[in-house]
Amino acid sequence: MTTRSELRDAFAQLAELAPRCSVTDMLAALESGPEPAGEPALQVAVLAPVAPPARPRRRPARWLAVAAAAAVMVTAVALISGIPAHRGTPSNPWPAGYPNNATTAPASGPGYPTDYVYGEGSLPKYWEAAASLRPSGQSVTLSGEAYGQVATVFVFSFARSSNLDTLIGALPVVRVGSVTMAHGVFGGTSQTGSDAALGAVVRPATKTSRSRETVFWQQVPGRWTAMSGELGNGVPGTGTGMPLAEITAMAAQLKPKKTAASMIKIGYVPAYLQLQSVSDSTGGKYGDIVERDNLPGNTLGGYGTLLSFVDRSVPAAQQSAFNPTVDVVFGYGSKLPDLAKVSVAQLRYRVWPGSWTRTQLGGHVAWIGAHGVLVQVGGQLLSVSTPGHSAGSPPPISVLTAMAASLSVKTGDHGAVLTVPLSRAVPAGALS
Amino acid sequence: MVERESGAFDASWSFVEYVEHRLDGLLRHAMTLTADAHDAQDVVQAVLERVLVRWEAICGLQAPDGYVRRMLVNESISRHRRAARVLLRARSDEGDVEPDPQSDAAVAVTRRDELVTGIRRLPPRQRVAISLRYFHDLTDAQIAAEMGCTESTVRGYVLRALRTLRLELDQEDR
Repeated sequence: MTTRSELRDAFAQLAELAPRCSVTDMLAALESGPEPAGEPALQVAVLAPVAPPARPRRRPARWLAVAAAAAVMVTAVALISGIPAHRGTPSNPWPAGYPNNATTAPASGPGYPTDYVYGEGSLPKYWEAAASLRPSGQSVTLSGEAYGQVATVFVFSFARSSNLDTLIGALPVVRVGSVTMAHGVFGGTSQTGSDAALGAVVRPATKTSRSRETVFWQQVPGRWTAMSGELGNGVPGTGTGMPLAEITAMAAQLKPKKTAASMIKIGYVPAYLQLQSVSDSTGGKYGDIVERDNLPGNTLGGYGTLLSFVDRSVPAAQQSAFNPTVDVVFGYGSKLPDLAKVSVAQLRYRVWPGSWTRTQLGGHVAWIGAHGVLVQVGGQLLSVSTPGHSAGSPPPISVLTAMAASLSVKTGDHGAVLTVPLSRAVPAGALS
Repeated sequence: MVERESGAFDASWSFVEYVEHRLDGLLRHAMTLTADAHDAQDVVQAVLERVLVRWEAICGLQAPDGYVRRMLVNESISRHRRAARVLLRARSDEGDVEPDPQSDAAVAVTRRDELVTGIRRLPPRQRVAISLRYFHDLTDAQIAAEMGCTESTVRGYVLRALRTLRLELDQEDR
């Protein structure tokens, strides 16, 4: 039976789910005009949160205007004065006609880089194994075959490279063919050889045991790209460095790809959260949502994407417990575990302690735990959680549920998951 | 009356000031009409684009807020007609999963959620009609004016919407 009050409550719930859009963002959207026509159909996973989200703090429009004006001034000053190129290397080391002469890639401003410079298709015969995007830049790992071994190529695009100008300037300069460029070696590369390098100080680490010769070049003023490679069994960090001549040859073939993109779109992010990174896994297993070994089928596969957020209200020196991550695994139909059939015991193997409630959100099977939300929508497994929380300090589950409710996935022909430009994949406030 | 703009319209407002005063209300209104956050934002953006172009004329109207609300209604209906968006089936083939009977919160959430899901599934005109009737407390005559149809048509939309919702909830209860 539907009563007037029930209907009113239901509409009130819908109203509470209205998108949060600042006046500044809306005016900016009006200025930039509507989204381009002819986009593929957008399949929206409509979910409903358990409780309405806390109202985000509105950013004062005046403060934003001042910040925007300051950013414009800084950019103007930088353009007028010129960003110093390092010694011995021209600002554009590639001759005209080289694919690396990526004038289409804009210099990154103080905000999040919204151009995704390299990825699948960047290098002939190589495929994208992983990619990560964060305010400091982008990393992408490409896999292929060379010299009869598995070749792993690491490409880093530094969006904020003020320290690189100095550091790279101290490295020896070599001349490769007609192209002048600097080369050096990364220090502090991680096992995967990707993410940590973006956050680590780059230095000429000649004493590093697993050093890899790396080619640096300046794409556009303020943005550097670095490239290195390994030969081995395909496990990053375990192979031998690729010859410099090979890396240089590959660097000349590297092509910029596309704008920054995500495989999911999230409509609601609290104002105090900032997007930290976007990571895609495009092959192999990606079983971080549920315990694979205890699930029916045990064949979790496919590919996925991970959006990480940080609580900007907490000083960087402190670590906030509320740093949500949004996981989406795109499976191949029956290969995904069926949340309708898993048991609480199976879910308890996960790192999220506490009780679980099986329910439905938007008609989809869902599990709501003390530390996250799991939802199964067709061939997709969505998860919004805060791994940093302990059993004694549960996160605001209503916020996580609201974030889960605002997720959508863009699909094309035959259910293929399409990417959404990062500038539209998350609310603008989460990028700045 | 549940949703009304806070503060009277001021004819001296610039367009930016209008957006500052009305954006939240427009987004909430659009959300109840479209039942989808992405659509709601798109609808508001599309309407504001047209409002911006005709701002001076709209300022001179007797009831600018009502005029913009009507634009929202029209946009939410016409947008749906031409949109290529496809909502995933709310009840998928994943099998029936009953909420944990020991969790009152889960039952309450599920019950409310079923109704919201039902509202989302309604044809746009029916959804708009019951939104204006039961959430915005408009009379049939007012709804007819907003939707640009007759009162009897409005009554038909509301009746069919309620019948659909009852049927769906009865099915859920069984």
